[in-house]
Amino acid sequence: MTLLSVQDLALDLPLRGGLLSALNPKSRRTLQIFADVSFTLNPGETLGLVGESGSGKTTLARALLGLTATTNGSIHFEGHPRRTTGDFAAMRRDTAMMFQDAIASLSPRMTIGALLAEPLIIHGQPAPKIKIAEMLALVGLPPDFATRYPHELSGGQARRVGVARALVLNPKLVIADEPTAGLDVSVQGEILNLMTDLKTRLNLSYLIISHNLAMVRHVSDRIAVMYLGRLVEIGPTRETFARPLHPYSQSLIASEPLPDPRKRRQDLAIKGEIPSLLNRPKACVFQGRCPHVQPICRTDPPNLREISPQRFVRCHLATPIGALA
Amino acid sequence: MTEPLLEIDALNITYHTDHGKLSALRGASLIARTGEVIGIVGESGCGKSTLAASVINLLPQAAEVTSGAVRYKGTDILRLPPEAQRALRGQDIAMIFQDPMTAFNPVLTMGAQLVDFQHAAQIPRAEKLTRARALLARVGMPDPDLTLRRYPHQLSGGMRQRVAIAAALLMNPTVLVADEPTTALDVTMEAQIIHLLRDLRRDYQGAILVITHHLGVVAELCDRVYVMYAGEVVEEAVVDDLFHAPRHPYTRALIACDPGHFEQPTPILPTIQGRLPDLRTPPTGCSFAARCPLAEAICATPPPRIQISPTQSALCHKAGGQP
Amino acid sequence: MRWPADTRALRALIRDPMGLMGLILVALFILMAVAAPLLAPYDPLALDVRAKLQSPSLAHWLGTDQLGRDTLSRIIYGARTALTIALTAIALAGSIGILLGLIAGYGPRWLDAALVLIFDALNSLPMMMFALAIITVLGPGTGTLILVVVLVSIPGYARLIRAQTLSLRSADFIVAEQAIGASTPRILMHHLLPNVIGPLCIVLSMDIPVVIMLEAGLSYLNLGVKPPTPSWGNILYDGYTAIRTSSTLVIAAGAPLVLATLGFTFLGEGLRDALDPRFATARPR
Repeated sequence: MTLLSVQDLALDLPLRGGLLSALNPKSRRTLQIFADVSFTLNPGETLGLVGESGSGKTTLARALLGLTATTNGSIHFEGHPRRTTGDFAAMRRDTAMMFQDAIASLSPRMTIGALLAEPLIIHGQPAPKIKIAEMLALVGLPPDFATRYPHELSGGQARRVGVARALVLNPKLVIADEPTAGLDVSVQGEILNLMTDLKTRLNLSYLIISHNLAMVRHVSDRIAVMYLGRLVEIGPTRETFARPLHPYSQSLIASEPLPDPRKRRQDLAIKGEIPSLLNRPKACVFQGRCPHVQPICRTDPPNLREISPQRFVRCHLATPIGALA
Repeated sequence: MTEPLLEIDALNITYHTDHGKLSALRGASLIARTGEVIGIVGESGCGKSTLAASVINLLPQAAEVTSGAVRYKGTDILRLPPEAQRALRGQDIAMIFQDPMTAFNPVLTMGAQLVDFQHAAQIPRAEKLTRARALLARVGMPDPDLTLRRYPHQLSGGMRQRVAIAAALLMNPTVLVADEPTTALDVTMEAQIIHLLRDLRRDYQGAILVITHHLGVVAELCDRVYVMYAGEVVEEAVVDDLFHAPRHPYTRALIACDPGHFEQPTPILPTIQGRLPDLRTPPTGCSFAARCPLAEAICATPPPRIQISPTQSALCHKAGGQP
Repeated sequence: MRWPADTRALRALIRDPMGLMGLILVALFILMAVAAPLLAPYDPLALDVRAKLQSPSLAHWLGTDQLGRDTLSRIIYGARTALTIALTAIALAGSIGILLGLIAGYGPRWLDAALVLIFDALNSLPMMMFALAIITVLGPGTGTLILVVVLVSIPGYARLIRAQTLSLRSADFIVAEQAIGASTPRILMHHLLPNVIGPLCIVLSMDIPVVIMLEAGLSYLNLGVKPPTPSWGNILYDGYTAIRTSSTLVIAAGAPLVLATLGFTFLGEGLRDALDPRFATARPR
């Protein structure tokens, strides 16, 4: 059974117009944050969601946990639809979130001990000191950290506390937003190894959101690529990196600087920049930057289609072997 | 070999903090020649930003230069009077910051600021505008005239970084210091800025210093690299040697940790055990010894700088052996 | 809950000469109010018509008033009146302001809009006119005085809390609390309140002298504390009527008023500097 299933999820935010637009509902404009988002996540699986800033990935993550309302589509967690505040409240014990800015996600005037005890208290479970020490030990921190305050932690330590806090309720799904942003490479490895280790020990599922392809590649079973509020490609990580099907995935992978001067990129993989959400292109969202663009891309919006087993792509021109005309 | 344009010579910088003195730079040396792109790479706390700040002498007040020199064309700029330093900044030595938003005044148009940056030049305003427009076109801004009328917040991060590069080039500097120029940018914008910087170096008569923690940026952009750890330059090498024949154990560990370096996914990523030494009481011996897999008893004594080749050296007792 | 800035802020306050002076003046003022029965040599209400309007003497250090009451005792008890009214009014206004501010800042948009409209409406009334109108309707007295202060102060406090709350409502740590299922009251009380209350505390301490002045002013006009209860305003009024005979009363009532106002203002300013985050970072040599 799938753990999380998302169908056609969409979010439009109303643009705040002037007084006149408030009187005339027809003239109200909306800003589309994301749309047509469909994917599934199986128990024990790690899905990497990659995309650049402005692609809507963080907002999507929050919407999946009901922290942001959506305007369309459905979310099923453990087979039950999650629509109302009550539905989402009922799944809080089984879901957890790790934030991009680990220090900012910890309430600044509480001790680490109090922060770790809080999820237990909220869900009516005992929170003895021994349990807090256990959680700290689980993420490799000494027990005296319980008396520290968030601002006294380094970036790596705050991440570890974030992991401990996410896992204290034994969740089934952990959504991690840029779990290594701002960390040095040596510390980044520590956090990822810790997450991988805990995943197997506690049988977790991860949704890892990142713009760091090199990182996502090592920790994900499947990856989903997001561009301007659309999932443009989903597939098994290894195959997607070997043969990206969507032109955006191709240029994203080709843009990543490699730590080897003998493999310098000579040509720019992609020109231009992500359009503003206010100027979302009609039909295919990538048409403005796509090197292979055809007339159909400007007229018909492509659908996410399964082009070969397990591999989904939102492109008119994609073929199962990945090469485009 | 050409004369060094910029030479940092055994620089020691101490920060006076509430918790005591902190040795941010410990005998760091660096040479940059005309036409070179120099990479300064290391993790947070290694002193690379302090080194960059010393080049344009924008050190924070709490910093004290205890010994050493920063020579620009043979003159020690740290000992110049403040006016002479100011004249040097912007005209001969320019800086590109990590977040270009902070480098611009939010209430002035880009045009006004790009003209203002040229205040030292004795040319008419129209000529300054023309020059600004030409440089905007040079850094790949699609519509320079429109850009001149824009305010900083109306540009995207990548566009702001392009304008910042144009601004830095306005006075024809001979040393360009780029502090984490792509860190705040997305992958595709990062690739474009790397491309632009690489493109600029071809017709640019000077040296570019790129400070970064990202080995991929170093590999893509730099000719020679200085690896810093705990306030010291632990290895200096030509970029190809650095990635293919690193001699300092820290350099090797740093390269090994970069997930971009693996062709195939690995379940467990390499890490560097241990922590950076406390720079209030720096170790007397090798500063990396406590984390080094090769450490032996001798590593508790100050390591020698072993010259491996004319272009490569490493601050390590064990760098003399085979790599 | 610990306030990590506490001891550091206190040390910074004491290092600042103005802050230290404020602290001392306020401490003396509070001591005077709390220990009034012990400090006052006479009953402040005891009449002695034979000894009216006396100059300072060993028996009456600050002399007596028209009814022969001991001025020093009345001043000491006046401190108690002033402090009681100021603290009660500020505490009431502060609590209500915090509650409304949190609700406006964290609650639904329509509620915020409605509350802001009310705050604006209250703010737009000229304060003196408003105060006089309430006193006219309810009659002068301590209760009325407190009511006036509370009604006039709430909008400012609520706005301050609302602005702070608005800036924090989508902060990561608040979203993190929502994600682990924290209830709204828990988020408001455990996570928002401790982080928004700091600036308000400074404003509150700086408003105490304003209330003391208001109380004295209205009492002087016979619109505040009703005689014979000792209030610095009442004493000032008595001194004013007797100024041709003796100026002791006016000076005796005016001086503590000035000192208390200065003390609270210095303390408030000192606190503001001491708690300013820009001073909290490591200061270079």
